[in-house]
Amino acid sequence: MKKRLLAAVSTVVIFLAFPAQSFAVAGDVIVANCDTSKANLQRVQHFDKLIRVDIARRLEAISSDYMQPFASRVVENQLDGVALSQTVVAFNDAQDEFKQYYEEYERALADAIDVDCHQSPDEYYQKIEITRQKRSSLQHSFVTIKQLLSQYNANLNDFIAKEFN
Amino acid sequence: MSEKAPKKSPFTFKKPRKLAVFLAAVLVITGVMLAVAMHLYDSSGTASLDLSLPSYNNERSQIDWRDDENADMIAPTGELNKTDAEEYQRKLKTKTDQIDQIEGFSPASLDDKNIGLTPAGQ
Repeated sequence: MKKRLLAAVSTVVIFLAFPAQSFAVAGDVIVANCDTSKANLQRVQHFDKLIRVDIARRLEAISSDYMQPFASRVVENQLDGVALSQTVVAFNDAQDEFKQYYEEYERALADAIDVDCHQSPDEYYQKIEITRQKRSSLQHSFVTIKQLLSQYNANLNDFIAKEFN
Repeated sequence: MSEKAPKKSPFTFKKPRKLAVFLAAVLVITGVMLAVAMHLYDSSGTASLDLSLPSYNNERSQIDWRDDENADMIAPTGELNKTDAEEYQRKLKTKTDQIDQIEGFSPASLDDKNIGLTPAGQ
């Protein structure tokens, strides 16, 4: 009797601790739209790759063709470019972070595309949810890069005002 | 007068079997190094961004490379006066404005509706 009671209590505890995952989209809807959604995910993957490559080469050009040579000129002319240098360091770190977030997002998206959505619709949707989270982190990372570029422009204004006026 | 014996090359094999073992070892080492390189290529994320792959011919043609060709670099040495600094600021602003215009990785692209995960008729 005690064992049965214990088993019943355990079942209730487990049920409360790990409720069945509920999805925003029903399994039958996923199965019905499986091929369409996969094609759409592949389209997103295709465009993201283009955007990622485009962003990477533009950021690389800003860093290597502009910021670094200018920093050398500032040092050579013994001017105070501390604020500019600090922003450049933060910008480089943000680029590394952006690269890492993109890799994580790209893998999550590829994982979602690899799931057989006819056979495992719940798993498929779960992977899409993970991909959404990764995409959100990636977007925030890109916004941070834009903010740092804006901050660098502001630092540059201050630098010119302070050193040449 | 004694004739000097010709110097022996380390790659001279007396028996064909030794040559075969040597070639097999070379192939194995090459294979291992290639496998390591491919693993690094894949795990570093480079593979997913490598537009030089033949399967990305279409993607490659969609990128506008003119900016790279017309790169207007700043000289890393020389005097730095107000005019130079303002010129640098102007050039940099053009580049950062281009980045600002990119609306990358909007979450809306993966909405249920946008990826087609909505019941028919909705």
